[in-house]
Amino acid sequence: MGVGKKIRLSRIIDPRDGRCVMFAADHNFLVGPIRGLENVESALKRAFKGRLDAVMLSPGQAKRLSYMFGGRGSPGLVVRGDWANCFRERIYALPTREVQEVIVSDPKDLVSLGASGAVFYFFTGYGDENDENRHYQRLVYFLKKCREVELPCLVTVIPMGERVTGANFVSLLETGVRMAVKAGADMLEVPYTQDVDTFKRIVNAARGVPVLCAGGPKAARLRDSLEIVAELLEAGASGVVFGRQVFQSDDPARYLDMVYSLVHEGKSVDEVMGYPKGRVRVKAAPENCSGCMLCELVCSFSHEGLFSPWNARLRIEQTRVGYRPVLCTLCGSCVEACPVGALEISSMGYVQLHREKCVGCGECVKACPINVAKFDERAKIPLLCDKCEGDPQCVKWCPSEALMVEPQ
Amino acid sequence: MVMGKTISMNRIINPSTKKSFILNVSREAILKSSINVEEVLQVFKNYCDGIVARFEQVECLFHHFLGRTAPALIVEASLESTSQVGSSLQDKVSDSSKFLVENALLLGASAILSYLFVGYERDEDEARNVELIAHLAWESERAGLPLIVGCIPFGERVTRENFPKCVELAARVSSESGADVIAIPYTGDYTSFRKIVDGVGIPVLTFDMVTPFGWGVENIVTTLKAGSSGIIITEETLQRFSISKLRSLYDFIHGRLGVWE
Repeated sequence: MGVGKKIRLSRIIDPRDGRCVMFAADHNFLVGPIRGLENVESALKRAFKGRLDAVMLSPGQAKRLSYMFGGRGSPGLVVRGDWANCFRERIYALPTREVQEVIVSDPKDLVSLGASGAVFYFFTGYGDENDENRHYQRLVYFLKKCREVELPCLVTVIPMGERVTGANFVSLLETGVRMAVKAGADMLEVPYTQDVDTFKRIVNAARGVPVLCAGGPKAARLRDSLEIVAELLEAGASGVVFGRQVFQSDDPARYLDMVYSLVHEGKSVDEVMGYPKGRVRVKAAPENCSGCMLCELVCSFSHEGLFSPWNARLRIEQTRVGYRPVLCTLCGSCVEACPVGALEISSMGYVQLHREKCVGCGECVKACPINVAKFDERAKIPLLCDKCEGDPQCVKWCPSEALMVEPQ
Repeated sequence: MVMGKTISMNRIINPSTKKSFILNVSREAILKSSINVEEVLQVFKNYCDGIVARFEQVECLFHHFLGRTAPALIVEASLESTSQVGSSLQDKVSDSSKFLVENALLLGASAILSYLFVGYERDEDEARNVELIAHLAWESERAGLPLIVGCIPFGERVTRENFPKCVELAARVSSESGADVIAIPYTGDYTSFRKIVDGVGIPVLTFDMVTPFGWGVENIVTTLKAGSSGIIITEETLQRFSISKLRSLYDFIHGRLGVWE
């Protein structure tokens, strides 16, 4: 690798830890206007309030918005070298019938523009092998041109086409990664394989070339997308290339800050989300509750190893307007009602049961004013919310953020 | 933007009114119709900001572009023009676009006009079209020549329902490819036209063509209100409008006349 390429690459991948948070904002070029990216300039302005290493743009936007990349601390500019039609699915005005990909930039022009890198697609799984062959030729040609001007190239490998199935997805991705590395890719971008072990295979196939993971469609929950980042890093990824996760989020700058903390600062998901532990209170937001009852299942599973809503320490009630989570309010009625002193409010702020003292009279359950306490007839003990000893699982799994945790 | 491009842009889009009135005499239909291009230009050259002509037309029409007050020459570079040069698989389009831009510069053009069609039966044709636009954009950037892209939905896949979305797609792909100005047909209402204007971040002209929602020039008031920077008129308007009406249209676009006048 020449000096020029090393310098440019260091503007994309932080040389201190070899990791990168890239914001992809080139979607309009491929599929037309997309929600959250209607105005690229304002989307970038919002994102630049957060922390990130690089931004991916189309050639036209890179030319127009190059003024935003001035200054030493500004993110690296990565410009698209090709165009493909394959992301126009059925929801678009003119859905794709046949995968097409063409070169749209000369690496020399990208260097003149001040780009720190180029990005190029490589699809595996075409119905016709000649199409794959032609695409590979274009990739090799483009990478050669990039080498001539010392421009690092990020190759996005995606299994795409008629031959791709759920069963061969990872193998096709692995093959594509090997081919891209052989062709001379300097960085790789791949979709997440949905588990750590298979992603490790992809990272191994890259033979030391940094692997970044594409974000894909916007995750339903903030926590979900952050947990994926944590998994990716665990599997050996060098960072992420997030587009929709960022520009479709309510606060792109905050989201980028969180991802940056995960990627570069080694923080945990709980830490970046500011999730309190220890003495906590679970708060309900009934307006968000969809009535899915996942919290009940998680609660029973984490305590009893059973997916049984009856064993849950909370319940979801149907109301006239929707659903309402009913949770222990720590009123202390059960503690007062216990004739043998088997219950107490612990220093961590939850009802603690001393099993050795409990006689199984069930007085505590009868005393509960909101009927959230239950009595396990088999074990002859009451089932009371212990806030999972300071790390409530119901909150972590709630898909609609109807349960929240706050310090007590 | 290089200085040359700024100067050329100011020749096409009036820098004081930020509007433009362009006459397109390049199309095949105009050559076949009863319209005498020479006569039309003789009358209109003082009432338009730019004239679009094909490479082969420029030699015959060049005298209309003489003088400081003459309209800007805009050369049409289409997919057919690229067949004039040929090279290797990868270099073909980039070589062709270089050839087109260099020739346009030699002719003294102030801009290049090309088209992005969407709705092709074969996706390959659309891909080739995008490739040409992107390479023309890079070449014209290097040469300091503005690139105007006409975004035209056509073919069986385009319906009345998806027409605005098709225009939006073509407009976005053109602007993201590096076009300096785009020309789009009327999309049926103020809102959809406005959405395109707001999103692309470059001047948008109204392309005068028959759409499922009517004819471009009939809706010029709506499109100007929606942020259009002017109009490119073609043979449709030339055949249907009187000279005085077209003069009024020019003055109206530049804000010298009101709607009722």
